[in-house]
Amino acid sequence: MTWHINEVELGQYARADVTDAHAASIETHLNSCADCRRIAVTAVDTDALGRVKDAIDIQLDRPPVGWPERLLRRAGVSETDARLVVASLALRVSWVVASVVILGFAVVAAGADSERALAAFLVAAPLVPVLGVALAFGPRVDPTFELAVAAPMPAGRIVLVRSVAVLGLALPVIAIASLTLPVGSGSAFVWLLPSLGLSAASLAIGTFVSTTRAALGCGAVWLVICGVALTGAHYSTGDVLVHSFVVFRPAGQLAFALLGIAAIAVIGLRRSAFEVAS
Amino acid sequence: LGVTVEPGVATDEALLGAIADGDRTALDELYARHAPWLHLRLSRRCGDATLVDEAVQDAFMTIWRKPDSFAGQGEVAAWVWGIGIRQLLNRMRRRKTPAWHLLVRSERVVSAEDSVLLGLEHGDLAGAIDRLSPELRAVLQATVIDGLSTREAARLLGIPSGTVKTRMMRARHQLRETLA
Repeated sequence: MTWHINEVELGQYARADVTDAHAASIETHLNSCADCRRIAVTAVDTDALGRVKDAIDIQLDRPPVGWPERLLRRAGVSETDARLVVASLALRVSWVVASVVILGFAVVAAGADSERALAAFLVAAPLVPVLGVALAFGPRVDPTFELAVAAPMPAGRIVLVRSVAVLGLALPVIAIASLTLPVGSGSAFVWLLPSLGLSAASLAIGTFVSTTRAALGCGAVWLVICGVALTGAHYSTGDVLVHSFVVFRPAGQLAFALLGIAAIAVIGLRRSAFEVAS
Repeated sequence: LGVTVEPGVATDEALLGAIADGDRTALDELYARHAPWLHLRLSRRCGDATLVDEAVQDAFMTIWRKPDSFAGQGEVAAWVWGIGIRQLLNRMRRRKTPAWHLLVRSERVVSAEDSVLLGLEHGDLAGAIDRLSPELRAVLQATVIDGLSTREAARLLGIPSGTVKTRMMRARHQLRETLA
């Protein structure tokens, strides 16, 4: 081909100072002529090209992103939050293992058709997410606490993101486990509102004292309530047991729902307190 | 790993082969060869310089991840353009940029010299194309020159797919009449 582009022409093209037919001609020619592509350097913003190259190199040097993080990001979670969730869960492997063991044990026991084992499961289930929240943030339990405090992100946001991650993992596991319970379908999920209520309450109280202490306190209160209720419970069948348990009757469920809503309101009002309270 | 590539000597196809083997210097060389014109050409399609930068970055990340999506036929440059323009479309959709800065050119009077040059290259076609309305020209450019599908062209221009089709038909009709 004898037709070639010169630097003047290419400059005019870059400034949109050529007719459309001429521009189309230049563009088509660039597809097939390496020599003319080479002079594009003279017309382009080389600083911008350098910046883009640096960005590519940084992206390539970064460690590969694991599939849980990719999944979260595809679901619309921001890059920072996705990293935070994955890191939080990776740090809390021991919690995940402990939860699965506790629940698995309870399920096996419940499968043996023992009403006492069912009671044990219902008491244990809400404690799992609460313990997860307790371990979500704090100088004593979190090996990355110093990093988290120094991170350019509000500490309150870190606590909330981690807590949501913990709940997002714990609740489906408990839900699957509870499908095996020897009770009617209406009673299988009675642990859900107490779980959410207690987790939210832990976070709300966590704005006054440390999150760890708040969660341990809430867990203790839950155990006391259960202890009192269980002493008067009837163990004839699973459903009867659930209904003789005041916290699992509609009034008790409503109370936990209200507790959750109130706690979320407190968290909203006092979220700045995480910066110092922890 | 494959043979090391001699920069400056290797063909574009050989560079892609080396990239498939994870050779970063091959990517550097491919970037040096193709990023300038790609940036230049994408800048003519989008007035937002940040979006163009991001599209070029995305394009070369895509090339790094999937160098074997090049079918092995035709020009590597044409393939690079296909990736680049689609990455730009993606970026624009994410930003919800309403319409393109397309054909930003001034109403420039074609000089006698230009007419001669254009005449040599295109014959009457150049004049015929420039006599099309800007709307028809934009559709022609997006589909014929940029190689986009009707749907992609519609997204690029911010108009419905049906409009792209009718404008394409009208453009073809008008060109045929002018050239007849």
